[in-house]
Parts: sequence; C-alpha cells; structure tokens
Amino acid sequence: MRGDSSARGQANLVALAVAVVVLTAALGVGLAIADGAFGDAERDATERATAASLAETLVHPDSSLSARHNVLNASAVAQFESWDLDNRHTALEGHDVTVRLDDETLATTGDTTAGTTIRRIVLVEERQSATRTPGLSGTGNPAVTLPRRTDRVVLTLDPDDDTTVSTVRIDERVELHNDSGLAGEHEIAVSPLETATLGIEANGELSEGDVRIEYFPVRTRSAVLEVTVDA
Amino acid sequence: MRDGRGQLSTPVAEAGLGVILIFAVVTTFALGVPAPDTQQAQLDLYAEDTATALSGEAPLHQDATRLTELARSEGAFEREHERADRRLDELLPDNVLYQIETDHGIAGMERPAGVPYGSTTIPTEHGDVTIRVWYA
Repeated sequence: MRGDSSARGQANLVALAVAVVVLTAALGVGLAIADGAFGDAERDATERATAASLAETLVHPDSSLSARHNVLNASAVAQFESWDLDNRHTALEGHDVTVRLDDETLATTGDTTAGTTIRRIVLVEERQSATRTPGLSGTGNPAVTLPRRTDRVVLTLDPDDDTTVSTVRIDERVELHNDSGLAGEHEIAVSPLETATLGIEANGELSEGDVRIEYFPVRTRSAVLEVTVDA
Repeated sequence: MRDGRGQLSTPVAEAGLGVILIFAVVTTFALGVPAPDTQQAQLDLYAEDTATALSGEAPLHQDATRLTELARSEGAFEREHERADRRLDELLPDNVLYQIETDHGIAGMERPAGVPYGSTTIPTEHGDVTIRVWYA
C-alpha cells in the first residue's frame, strides 16, 4: 500500500501533464480553426464588396465604359484593358481582379480562380455603318428619311455635270449650302434622339447613285458582365 | 484499488471534459457561422439590371417605356406580355428564370415555393411592376 501511494502520486503527475498537453493542443487546434473561420468570412465579404462596387462603377452612367445606365459602349469596351484597372481604379491595388463580358476576358490583374464573382446584366451597344442609296430620279427636291436613328451622317454627293446640288437640309435645318454646287463627302452630326430626314435641293436631274448616305444606327445586344475579385 | 482508480481518473476526466468543451466552442465556429446568403444579393442585382434595361427601352405603341406600357391596362398586358417574356428571356442568363408581375397579370414562369429569389419593384404611372428572378 505504501508503494502504491508513491506510484499513485507519480501516475497522477503524469496524468496531469498529459491532461495539460492534451488541453493545450485542443485549444491550439480550436483557435486555429476559429481564426480560419473568421478569416474566411472576412475575406469573402471583402471580395464580395469589392467586386460589387467595381461592377456598379462599371455599369454606372458616368463610367468610362458605359453610354447609359447598364448600357456599355462597344468601342469603349474594346479599348478597356488591364491598364485601366490599375490606373483608374486604384483602390483595387493588392487585389487580383478579372473583368469579363460574356466569355471574353476584358481585363485581368492576376489569377482569380478562387475569387468571388458578381454578375451584372448589361446591354452592349454598337454603332454599325449602313449605307442607303436612295432611288432618285428626275427633277425635284427629294427627301429621304433614314430608317434608323443615327448620331451622324456621311453624305457623298456625286451629281452629273449639269446638275447642281445647292442645299442639304436635315429636319428642315440647312446643313450644307453652296450656290455653285456641293460635291464630295460631307460628314454631318445629327441628333441621335430623333429620326433624321434629309432634304436635298437640286437644280437639275438626280439619278440613283448620285447621293449616297452612310449612317450609323445603334445595335444592342445583351451580355453578362462578370467581375471577379480575389483578395 | 478503489483509491487508485479515483486518483488516476480525475485529471484525465477533467482533461477530457476540457477537450469536449473546447471542441464544442470550436464547432460553433466551424459550423455555427451560417454562410452568407450570396445568392440573394446576386439575384437582386439580376432583377434590378433587368428592370433598368426594360425601363430604358422605348415602347411599341404608347407611354414612356416598355414597363409603363405593360402596366397600363389589361388589354395592353395581353398584347405585350409575350414580348416582355421574350425580352426577359434574352436579357437573363440561361440559368435564371423570371416572372414579371403587374396589376393586370403575371408573365413568365411560375415561381416555385421555397426557392430563394431576387426581386425589384418599379413604380410606373399605372401601378407597380415587379420582376422576380430565381435560379433554375
């Protein structure tokens, strides 16, 4: 029994030591897991907030990319590149960011495979050139109404020698005038908000092909703008 | 014998209890923090963007925008709802379903119960128009 007593004391000490080691280890593992959980939650929130605000900035009417709210300008989109992310959106420094439109990557500043993505629905508008050669014949002052709205018109006049085109009106406003005759290519800015009607005042006969009108109607398609941020 | 058992088990039992306590706390961290509802925010953005796009589009017959036209009357809704349906289908990604509700009816898909959805309401001259979107 006396021997037992001393053995008991030793065993107790060992058990205490083991208990302290086990507890410390458990506490360490626990703290690591808790820290990881907090870190993940925080990182995710930061990424999400950054991605959401960058996406909002890009679709905002004042953004360099957009024409109106949620409407992107195709030529601005074509010019947008990684440089813009670094220099125009300096708050993104230290984050890896990728901006994609549908499946095309517009700009990227790093690998964002583990990042958080915000998607916005946008319209992409593009001005495409279209040409109209009105079937003019005989004398008179013909008027041509363009089928689509446009922001400018390129007018190519090539009348016969005995015909003089003196005035071109758009929506009753004189845009070009020359008493001795207009010829060649003229670019005229028109209101993109209303349909344009061209009035041509000619002294003599005009035939098809003498007047060529190039205009630039807007074509819109819908797309998904994806902003991915990896903090 | 009885003494030995009692002496040996106390610190071990305490350590065991301590470990259980610590892991109980850890479990609340690992499992207890609910994942943020990220779907909801994204769906709300989809709904808002769609509404913005539709608000910016010229109507076919009358009124200021496509949405106003849709909300105008029962007849207008009957006439326009298929077009609005098609437009939403074009705008939204394929994995997102939608419905558009006016005072005169609902166009689009039927929304299943219990599915998280994003919505936005646009007031128009003829009443509110609500767009709801959810993942397929």
